[in-house]
Amino acid sequence: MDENMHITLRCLFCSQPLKAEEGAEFQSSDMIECSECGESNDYDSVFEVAKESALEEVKSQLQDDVKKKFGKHFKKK
Amino acid sequence: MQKETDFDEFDLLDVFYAEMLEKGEPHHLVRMSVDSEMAGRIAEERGIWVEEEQLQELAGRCLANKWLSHTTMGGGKYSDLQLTTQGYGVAKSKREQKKIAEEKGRLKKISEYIEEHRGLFIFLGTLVAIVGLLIKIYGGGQNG
Repeated sequence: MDENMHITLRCLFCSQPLKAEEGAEFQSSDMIECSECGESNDYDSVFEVAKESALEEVKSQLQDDVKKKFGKHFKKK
Repeated sequence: MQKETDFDEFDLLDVFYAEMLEKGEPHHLVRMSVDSEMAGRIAEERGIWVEEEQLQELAGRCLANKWLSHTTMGGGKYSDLQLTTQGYGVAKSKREQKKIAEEKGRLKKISEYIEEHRGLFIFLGTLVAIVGLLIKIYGGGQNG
């Protein structure tokens, strides 16, 4: 499983990656404007969706790893 | 009563969001069906009449965008729906946008009023300055 994972923060409305100026910092309750659709996104919600996405990715990778490692032990002879 | 065209998919998500706040439960524990009962509730609470078909069309858009999801299998397409994390974010963002727009609206109104009555404010400012100067000159003269 990859130890480093890169998750892109996406616009809640159009799902396009959110872009910001280099060095820009955001905190709870900030609104981030999407450069694609122009909608303002609640930062906390964007983060929650990204977190959920990351957990799903980790779960999927773990399942693949388990299948690879233990699959051979349960193959029919 | 307002026309149904004033109600869009974001308003539908807001119905779920409002229900969540009313019940005091997180979004994944609140389920609602998009049916005539919901239409009646919207009419009563928001003063907007939306046909059930229109509501279901909006729900279809929300399902396609993964803003709403089903909580049960085998139920109807528009039964027992809940906000997804993304849908919750969209609803919350829209509420924040509205709040910011209202605050900007108030500040803009004050700014426009000052702009429209600029002459009056300049006159009043000048008058205050002259009165202050006179008080300093004659008030200082009387004291000296």
